[in-house]
Parts: sequence; structure tokens; C-alpha cells
Amino acid sequence: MALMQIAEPGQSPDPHKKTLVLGIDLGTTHSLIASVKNGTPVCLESADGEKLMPSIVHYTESAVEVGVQTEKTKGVDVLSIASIKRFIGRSAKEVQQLLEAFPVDYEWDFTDAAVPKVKTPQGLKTPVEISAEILKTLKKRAVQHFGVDEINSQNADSFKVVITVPAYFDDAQRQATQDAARLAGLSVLRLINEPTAASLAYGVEQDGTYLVYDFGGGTFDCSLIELNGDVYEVVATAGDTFLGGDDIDHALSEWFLATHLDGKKTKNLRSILKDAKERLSSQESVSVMDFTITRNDLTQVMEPILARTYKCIQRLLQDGRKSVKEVNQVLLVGGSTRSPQVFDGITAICQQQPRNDVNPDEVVALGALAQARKMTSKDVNHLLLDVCPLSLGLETMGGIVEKIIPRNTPIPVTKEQIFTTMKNNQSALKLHVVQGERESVEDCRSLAQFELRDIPPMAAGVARIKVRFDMDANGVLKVSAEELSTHHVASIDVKPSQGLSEEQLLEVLQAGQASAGEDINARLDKGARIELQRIIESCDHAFAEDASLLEDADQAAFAEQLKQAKALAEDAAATREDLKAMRESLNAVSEKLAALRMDKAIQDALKGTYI
Amino acid sequence: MNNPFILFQLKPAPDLRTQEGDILPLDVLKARYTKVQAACHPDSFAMASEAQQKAASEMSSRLNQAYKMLRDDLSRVKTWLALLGLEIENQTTKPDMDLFELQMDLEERLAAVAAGDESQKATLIQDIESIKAQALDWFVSLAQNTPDTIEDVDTCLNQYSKLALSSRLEQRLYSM
Repeated sequence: MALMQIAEPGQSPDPHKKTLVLGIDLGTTHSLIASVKNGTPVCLESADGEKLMPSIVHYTESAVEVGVQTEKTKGVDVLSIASIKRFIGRSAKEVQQLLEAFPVDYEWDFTDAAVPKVKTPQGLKTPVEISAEILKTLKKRAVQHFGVDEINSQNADSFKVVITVPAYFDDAQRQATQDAARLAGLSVLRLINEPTAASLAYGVEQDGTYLVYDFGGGTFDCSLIELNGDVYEVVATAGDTFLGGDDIDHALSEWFLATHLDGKKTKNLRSILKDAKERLSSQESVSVMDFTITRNDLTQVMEPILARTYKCIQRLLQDGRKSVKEVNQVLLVGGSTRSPQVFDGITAICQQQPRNDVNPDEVVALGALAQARKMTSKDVNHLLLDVCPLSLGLETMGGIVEKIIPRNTPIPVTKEQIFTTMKNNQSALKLHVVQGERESVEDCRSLAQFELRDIPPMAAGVARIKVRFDMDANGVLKVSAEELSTHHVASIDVKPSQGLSEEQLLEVLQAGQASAGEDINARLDKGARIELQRIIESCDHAFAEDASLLEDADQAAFAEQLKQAKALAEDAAATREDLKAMRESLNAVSEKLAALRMDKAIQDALKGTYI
Repeated sequence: MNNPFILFQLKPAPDLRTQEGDILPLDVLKARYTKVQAACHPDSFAMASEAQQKAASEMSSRLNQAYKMLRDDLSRVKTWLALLGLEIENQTTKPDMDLFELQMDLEERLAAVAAGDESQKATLIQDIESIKAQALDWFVSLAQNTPDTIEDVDTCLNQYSKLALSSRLEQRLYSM
């Protein structure tokens, strides 16, 4: 059984600690999980030999099943939830709007405007919880493949994953995806964008510019990527979160209803036509309920949908300051690119034949795995530089958006801007963080609101309020504000209403565990100890290598803290709170060394460069 | 973000130079950027402590910002001037009729090109590039004397306006 073991260089891996490195494509219609098996990166199969797992969650009163439903006992009420990805990280209002375009046959509860829930036989479930079920099932698949033992499979640290999200996913959707992974007991190394992942899996090696066209079941994404040696640089990205193969199915059924059935609804029409659509990829015409649909009919139905994707490509090229002639290759990703209509359309728009030689279903998961391997190994050298897909800004007077981070800014990024008060003696400032390209707040997506209070009395325009936006490499945002004369600080993780707090997460976990009859406390204790051990290892390594960067006094303090931490980690009587507090103090002590090591890394990287 | 030039081991200047003062081509900046970014990117510290990950993320975003400040001529000149105590944002420029007329002329020609008159495009590009090069040269020769502060603020702002105007038009021409 090939298990990847991870250890800091120069240290022997703990034989009891087994870590799986995984790539997950959490798709709207299908999901996949990839790992290295016998030295080869592969998508893992289910017991039935299927790699693609339908992203459908079935709830009965007593069980949850994902993918193909097996339990079909008579009299058992089953609720099947498909395409939950469309709704993850969205508010009640947004879900209601979406439902108009994509009606579903299950009911929602909108009591909580921030966190809409689905009514299931097991009570109300959030989209995050439902997505977590999909991830749990994929995780189980990995456990079965690699024979992970009971103890390790309980520990999130044993599952290092990179999960892909559409490039166009906004902050709330990314946060929600991360929450779902935490709920499923996975440790997320990074969220990466689907088109970026795809380009990693296509294994492009020649330096140049690549355009990735990712047309899946529910979303459309495109990215312009420059490869230069080992560096993948995402130059620009564009897309549409509400555009996918589902829309083609929807448009096709509308067309069929109007032209052949006089608007008379028929059961299962959509899936019948979906099947017809797929057959039209290889046949010139197919018959559906005594009628004939030709490929040309389908082309006409698809035309306006594909036109929207071409528009995204135009914007992409403009943002990336490239002409279509400068694109070396076009890479196709996503099931919807199997249509000959897409192939022909792209050939015309991009003035070259696109590549479609990697299985479009598997390419994203394999790319996620490639990134996960890179991040857990010292031997793989590629660097992935990604961008922020949507502009981020603040509401100012009159509902106008002041952009702080423009779209396609390389991440991680920190931007600061000074604002002031509008009224004399204004004591509070409301900050409204929004995302989107439009000028007016109403047309953008609201991410969070918070207040900076206790501003000292000053004349209008005198107070200087520094607002800081921090976006990390996952595309997750943090905003803080500081009044500069008093240094009064207010800050917020832009974890919009939909996000789970640590307590909520614990609550959900507890609820789930209680039914499984496990001792949640023991599990949390163990987790806290492992966390502390992990940070000790890492600090030990940093200290051994670079202690000389610190002044003597700091060195001594670091060594002492490390010693205490080691003692506590061995102390069986240490409580969870003790372990957590120790982890925090060790972390605080190590901050100085961490920063000095970064300076050193830069010096080393540029050493002897007279290029 | 005190001095982005130092971060990339460059001499603070309106153009790209080694610390010893030799002129560097633009792709060297990009090469240095990717090199240091590879060394500092949070992806390279996924298995390290939280403090180390945070330090990597901070450094990585500093590098992104510094690279952006140095990558194009206009923001590099602005950064250099700020180091000499001249913050462009806090300045008010005096009205300048010559500059205004130049702008009107260029805008008009650009509008014509945008409307489809391709025949003018080549000469327009040439003119814009030459205005840009002249303004940049002015800053480069100012830098030769290694000043501690900017003495003639008005001329400096006038040249900066020319550089800003030509950079802006250049970009618009590019995205046509």
C-alpha cells in the first residue's frame, strides 16, 4: 500500500502518523477525488469502479447517502438534493432568486435570512452541511483505498487536500467551501481555481500563454495562464457562476416544450433531453418522443449560451493585455466541452484548434492533486501565482463603490487606504465591504458590514481612518480599520453571514458525533495535542536551522518556550485549554524568527544574481 | 512598504538599475520577482507553523505590491519620487496650457483611431512613445545627480503629468 509520508527535512517521519495527499474536484454535478496510487496520480474509483461521483445527496430519516442511491426500500421517504454547489455561500435572497431560474423539487427554509436551509427528513441542513456530506463520502473512498486505520481517519491532519473552486467563486463561496471541508474532517492546504488546476494537469511544459476554457455542469470559467519555467502565473481570469451545461439542458427543454409540446409539461423531460444532447455529440440527429432533434437544432439552442462564454474570453484577453494570436494553446476542461459545438466555436473564436486530450472530467481533480503534492513535498518546484477574480471595495457616499483591490490583482495582497469622516464629531464609521465590477453598491455583492466606533470628536474630514484589505492565497479576505490618531482598531474576517464560527462548527460536529456514539471530548483533546506537536516540530526545525538570526536574548526565550511546549505535549494531564494556550504562546514567540527567515529567504534567492 | 527597490536589490531610480548603477532590462525584474516569490510564497510553507505561514503570506503580498510599483515606468517614477519626499498624491499641479493642448490633440487623434481610422495609428503610437521617453529621460538625468530632495517641484510635476498622460494613452491604445 503506497502511503505518502510527510516529514520536515532532516527529521524522521513518525511511523504512526500517516498522511494522505489528495486533490478534490467538488463539482456542481459530479465530484472526484485523486491521489497517488502505486506512484501514479489517479482519480480513485468507487467500489463499483466509477471515478465520477454524482454530487447528489440523498437523505432519509436514518441515513445519508451520496452519489448513486442504493437504498430503495418501499415506504422510505428519500429526499435527493442535486447541484447544491449552486447555493453554497449564498444568502436567502440570493437563493430565492436562483430558484426562479433553477427550480428544485425540495423545500427551503428562509427563516434565517443569512443562512438558508434545506428541509430534509433529518431536519434543516445548510448547503455547507450538505456539501460536507459529499466530501465525507469522497474521504471515505480514500480511506478504503489506502486502508487508513480508525485513529488516523478521525484526524483531519491525516488528510491534506487541495480543493478546487470556480475561479469566479466569491469570498463567501470560498469560505463556505472551506467550512464544508472542515466539517468533513479534511485539512485544507489550499483552495485553487478550477482552470488553474486544469492547466497543471494538462502538463503543459512549453513556456508560453495558455487559455483555459472550463465549461462544466453549473459554472463557466476561463483563465489566461503564462508558463515561464516552473512558474505558473495566472494573468487574468473571467467567468460566470451561473452558466453551465445545466443551462443548455434547461434551454433545450424550454425550446422543446415550446416547439413540440405546446407548453405541455412532461415528466423527466429534462433528463430525456439531456440524454439527447449527449447523443447529439456523436450523432447528427436523435429522436425524442416521436420527434426528431437535429444537431443543428441543438446548435441554435446553444448559440446564445456559448455567446456569453465568448464574451468572457474577450474580457479575459483584454484584462490580460493579450491578443488571441498570442495564445499558444487553448485547453478545454469540463464535461460540456465534449459538445462539437463548443469545439467548433472555440476553434473559430481562438483561431486555432483547442486541446481536449485529457479527460475533461478528471483533469481538475488531477490538477488539484498536483498542487497538493507540490505543497507537501520539497522536491516539486513549481510555483503557482494566482489572482483575485473580482474587484473588492468599500461603499462610500451616495452608494458609490471605491475599489480597493481591482480584479486580477496577484494574491496574496494587502492594500491600505485612508478614509475620513463626513460629519463633525462623527463617532462611528460604518464600513460596507462589497465585491463586483459595477460602480453602484446595489449592483455589487455585499460581503460584510462592520463598524469602527469610539472615534474621538473631530471636525469633519480631520479623522484619518486607515482601512486595510488582506486577501490570502486562497482568495479569502480580511478587512480591518484603524483610527490613526487614537490607534483604535476594528476588524473583521470577511466571513459573511453564511460562514461558520468555530463554536458553530463544534456544535455541528458534536451533533453529528453524538449520534455516532463517539466521545467528542476525547477527539478534541487528541486534536489539540496533535496541533501542538505539529507546531513544535516546525519550530524545532526553524530554530535548528536559523536560530542565529535572532539576538541572544530572543534565542534564549525561544529555546525556553520550546522546552516548555515539549514538556506540556508529553504531559498526559494537560488539558485542552493548556495545550491550546501553549500553542498560541509558542506561535507568538516564533513570529520574530518567522519574519527574519523570510528576509533570509529573499537574500538567499537573489544571492549571486547579477542577471 | 518602505523601499520596494531594496526588496529586489535594485538602486532606487526612475529606471531599473543594479545597486551598482548598471541599467537592467525589464525581464530581469520579472525574473527576480518570480525567484523571490518562489522562496517566500505561502505555498512553500504549507507544512510550517502558523507564524511561518503568516510571515510568508505577508512577505509574498509585499513582493506582489513592490513588483507592481516597479513594473511600469509611471509607478516606478512615482515610487522613486516618494522616496525623495515628493508624494504625487498630495500635490496640486498648476494649470499648464501647453500640456492641456497636447492632451486635447492626442485625445482627438486617439478618438479617430478608435473610430476606425487605422492609418493614423502608427504615427500616434510613435508620438505617444516619444513623449513618454522624453519625460522618462528627464527623470533619469535628474537622478544622475543623486539628489536628496526635489528642488524644482513644478517642473517635476509637469514632467510627471506628461509621463502619466502618455502612459494612460498607451494603455488605451493597447486595449483597442
